[in-house]
Amino acid sequence: MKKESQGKINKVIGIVSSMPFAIGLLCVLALLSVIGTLIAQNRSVDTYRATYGDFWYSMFDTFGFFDMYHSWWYLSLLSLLLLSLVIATVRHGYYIVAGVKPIKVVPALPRKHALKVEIQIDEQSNKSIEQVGNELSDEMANLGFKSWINNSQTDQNQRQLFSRKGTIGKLSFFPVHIGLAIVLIGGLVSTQFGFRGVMNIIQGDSVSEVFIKEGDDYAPIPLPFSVKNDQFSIDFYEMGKPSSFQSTLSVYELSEDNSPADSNRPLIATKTISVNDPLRLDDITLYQANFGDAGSPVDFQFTDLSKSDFPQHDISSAVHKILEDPGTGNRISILDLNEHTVLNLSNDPMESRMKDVGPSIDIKIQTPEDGTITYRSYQHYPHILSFKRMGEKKWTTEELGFPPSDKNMIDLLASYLEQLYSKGSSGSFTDQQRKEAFAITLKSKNISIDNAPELGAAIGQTQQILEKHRLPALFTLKAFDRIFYTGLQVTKDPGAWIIWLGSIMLMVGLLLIYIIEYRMWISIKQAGPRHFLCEIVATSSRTNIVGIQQLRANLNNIANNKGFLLKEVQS
Amino acid sequence: MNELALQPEQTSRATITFQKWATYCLLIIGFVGLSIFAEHDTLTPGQALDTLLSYKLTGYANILLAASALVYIASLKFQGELVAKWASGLAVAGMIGLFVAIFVRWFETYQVLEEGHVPISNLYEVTIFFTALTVAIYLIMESLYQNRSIGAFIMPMVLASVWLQEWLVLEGYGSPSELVPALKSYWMHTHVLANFIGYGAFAVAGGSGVMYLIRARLEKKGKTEGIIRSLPELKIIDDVMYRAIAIGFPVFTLAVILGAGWAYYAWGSYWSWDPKETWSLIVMLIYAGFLHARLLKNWSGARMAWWAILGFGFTLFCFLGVNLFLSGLHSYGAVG
Repeated sequence: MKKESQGKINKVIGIVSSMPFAIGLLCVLALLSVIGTLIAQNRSVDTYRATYGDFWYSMFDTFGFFDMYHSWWYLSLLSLLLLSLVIATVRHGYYIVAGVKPIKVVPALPRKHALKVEIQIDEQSNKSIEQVGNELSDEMANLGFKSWINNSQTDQNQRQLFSRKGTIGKLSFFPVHIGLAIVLIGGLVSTQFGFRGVMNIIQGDSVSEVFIKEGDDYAPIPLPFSVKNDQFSIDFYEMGKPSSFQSTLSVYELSEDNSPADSNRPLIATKTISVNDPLRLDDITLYQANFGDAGSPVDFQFTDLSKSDFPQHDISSAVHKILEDPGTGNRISILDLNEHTVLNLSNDPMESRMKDVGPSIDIKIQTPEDGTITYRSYQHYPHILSFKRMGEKKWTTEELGFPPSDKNMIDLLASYLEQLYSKGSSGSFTDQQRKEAFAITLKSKNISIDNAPELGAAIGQTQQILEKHRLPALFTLKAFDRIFYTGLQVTKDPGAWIIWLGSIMLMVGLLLIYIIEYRMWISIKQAGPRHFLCEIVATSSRTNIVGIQQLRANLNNIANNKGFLLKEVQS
Repeated sequence: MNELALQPEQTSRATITFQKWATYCLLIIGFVGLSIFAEHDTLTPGQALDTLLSYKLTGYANILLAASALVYIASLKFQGELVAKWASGLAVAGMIGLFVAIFVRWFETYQVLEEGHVPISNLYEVTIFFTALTVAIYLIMESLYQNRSIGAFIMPMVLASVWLQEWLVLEGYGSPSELVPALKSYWMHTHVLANFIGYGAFAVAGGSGVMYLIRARLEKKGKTEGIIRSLPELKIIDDVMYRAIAIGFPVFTLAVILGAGWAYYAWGSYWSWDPKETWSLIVMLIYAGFLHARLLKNWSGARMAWWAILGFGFTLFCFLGVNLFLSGLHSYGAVG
């Protein structure tokens, strides 16, 4: 009974460590890994439901496809690979060690060989077969081969020489497989005993906990120190893209009540970190990962185009803040503040003239009538206006005839439109009607008619754009005070050094693979006085046409130098 | 029994190959020096792509490579050693041209941009790099195996990557661009270099796989005349295929390890299962499978050829597909 189960276990071990199993497992892992790159990982439930629908969502969720590299079945396959690797290393390792040890008995001739040559040796002097054997052995040594002569021959006229080189290449098996196993184990140690979290610190603030992602949520973990963001800065290229960003951090010991506020506590470390330059503490490392707006206060002007008199409101808000007007049902949210904005200032659609126009603000307005529109308003170019409606990817940019912050012009525009629409119903107007309406408007405002062409052009241009796009509002960025938070990645990774050790072993092993083993069986026969026949059979540890050709050339050179005749025997 | 007397071989093939490549390197250095000398005082910041010398050089080199591809294919038909020699000559000239262009562009970035960098930072630049390295790896194979017909199967792939370059230029992705902060690291050079040697080697293996299948098919049909005469024996094609993967795999593994090291150094996580990382792993697993089957089970023949072709398909997706269709940490290689 016991024997039977023992046999079964051996059978299972045999299968798991067998080559076809390993090859199959590698391929299965490769193909299954594709899934996780096609389905975005670790997104919110809502995103998945929206993308795949309820049925496929529950299907995918059952199989853990949304975090598949940490799903039980993927980790099981990886563990199986590790198991197969370890058993195979132990099982095959024995034979490999045996194949590398100095030999005691000349191995049997191989069934397949890569090269077979015959050398006829005609010596002038009367050499014994031993001497010929030793000479050949010396020649082989010059080629880097180590040789063994089998002297325990019953046949006095025959000697067997065995030469090999590059045997050390066989040992590559060990560093490759053990290295890989170590990498996998290191990964396990990292995930079990380490953590990886995020930490966002507003300039001047201190934080002493890190947030670890758990599913859709972030869970705080207290740190044994507090980190203060002394200074965060971004450098920009000329065209407004960030060229580098860095934070000066000070790490303080925690006070007794664990409050991070007190700055008289002892300083542990301080450093300015950037993307490729982290701050390493004992077992925790702080990396510069990203940055973001921490709710910068913003002042802007809102021109309400939905009312006929175009009322203007000065509004103070902050980035990421949403304001709601209960009267109209409008929601105005500040999406983002850009300190550098690149804009094409060319009117010619075929030509582009990119310029960094400085700060801009992205404001989203949701109105019950017009839906959602996002505006981009440029602080230094207030008459330029970019916007996009919901679902649009590209900004539409237009140049107004005057900046919306110009109260007089806005009033003029409102009066003019009132005048114009009072004449007829909506719809189209003739140039004459427009001119008349504009003249009356000017007159009612006591503005000289001399200014008509100039004002008319500005008003006309603006009105055209508003009519064309039916915009519900206009915005003007007035002032802002940028406040950044620095986004840090905080990791504790006790498995890292194990992984690097494994990686180095793996690489050393892979380089050793390049050392190919060559083996030669050389049988020397005394065919007559001073006349020997030498048959050489060579193999290499892998099919290797170039290497065998080189070996053949080397043997040929030896024969030529000695004046022997070499013949290749093809079987 | 078939007996062959052998001719003495004076210089080993490896030595000849080495001497040849030393010459190419000297030529590249010389041309780079000349180009920089000719261009250095004409460069201005923000200069348009089509006025850069490196861009023109890339164009000429690509024409040579395209011509080389055609001549290689023609050499299958005409079977003259001279035709094949012309094909190799064009390929060598094109490769030297591309390497010169890469170095010149490197120099140009320091004049045209605010901060110069090695030109391997966007898809257009790495495609040039991929083209040059694939040709280089192929040419090494050619001189090791003394067989030029393999080129007829590798160079069309090079032609495809030339086309990709042109497409990227037309779409406006060709201009030198400033580095994003994450790429400012010395890790980048080694990581990208190793990666593209790997890709290039896998491309050569894939091309050999196609060649293997064609020859095997012709043999099956019992053809003895025509194209089959210019194709090397199956076991030689098989050897080229295997050798390309044997070169590519360790280098590619090194690239992945360097990438992990860099990610750990820059972001604190050596592995985040981002699409590029995952696809590199997939590529590694596939070729690891190939090498095990080949080295330990002595598998050979058509199934290994298919494996090499499929493996290159996966490699191609890792190189391009991930950038074009998926998003992730490697988004600086993205288009659109």
